[in-house]
Amino acid sequence: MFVQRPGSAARFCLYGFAAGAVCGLLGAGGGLVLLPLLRRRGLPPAQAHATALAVMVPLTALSGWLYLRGGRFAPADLLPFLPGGLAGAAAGGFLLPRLSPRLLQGLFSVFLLYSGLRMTGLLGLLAGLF
Amino acid sequence: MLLVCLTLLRGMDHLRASGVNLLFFLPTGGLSLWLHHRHGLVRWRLALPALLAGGAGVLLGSWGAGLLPQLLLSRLFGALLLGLAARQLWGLKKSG
Repeated sequence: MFVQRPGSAARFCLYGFAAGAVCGLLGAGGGLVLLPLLRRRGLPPAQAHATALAVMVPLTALSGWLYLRGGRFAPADLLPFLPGGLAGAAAGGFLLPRLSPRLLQGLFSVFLLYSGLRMTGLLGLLAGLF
Repeated sequence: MLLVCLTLLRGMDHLRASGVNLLFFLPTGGLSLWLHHRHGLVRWRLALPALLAGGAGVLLGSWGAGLLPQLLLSRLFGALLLGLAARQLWGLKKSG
């Protein structure tokens, strides 16, 4: 059960700062940093997700605006991905209640592992060893 | 997932992919947030201090993104994904 203790506000400021820094630096991942921290503090899953979202939506908007201002991308860059994104969201909403949570977690883990190995360059290193 | 696909499959540079990813998240994230708020799930007393400090974090992170080489940003993001993968797999092992 979550009980607000003395020093909690300072702790949540620190969590928010870390999530914002990751969001600003990498363009993603802030919520993935914040959510486990909220869960570890005892927030039930639904409240942790909702509260993380309440932090990350404005921070994402701020980060996006800074990226736009810095000329790092243009709004038109987003357009080709919108139709697919909407279709994907609809498909995901249809499939989610029909798939086992364990299967989803497993598939997501494999995706994270493969992507992480490729983006760090470790996949190439490992392939070179075998 | 979008950022990964943009960089690995489309060969987009990390900063551009990050910008697209950030904007892409806003409509669905905003809608979800509104629904969660309506259902009384958001702990605003916890979110607000995190949000205020998070703004400073975003400023620092965004400034850092402009200084670091894009390959390093990609590698850092990859390291974050590996950490998350490890946590997910550990969670699967524990519940299995």
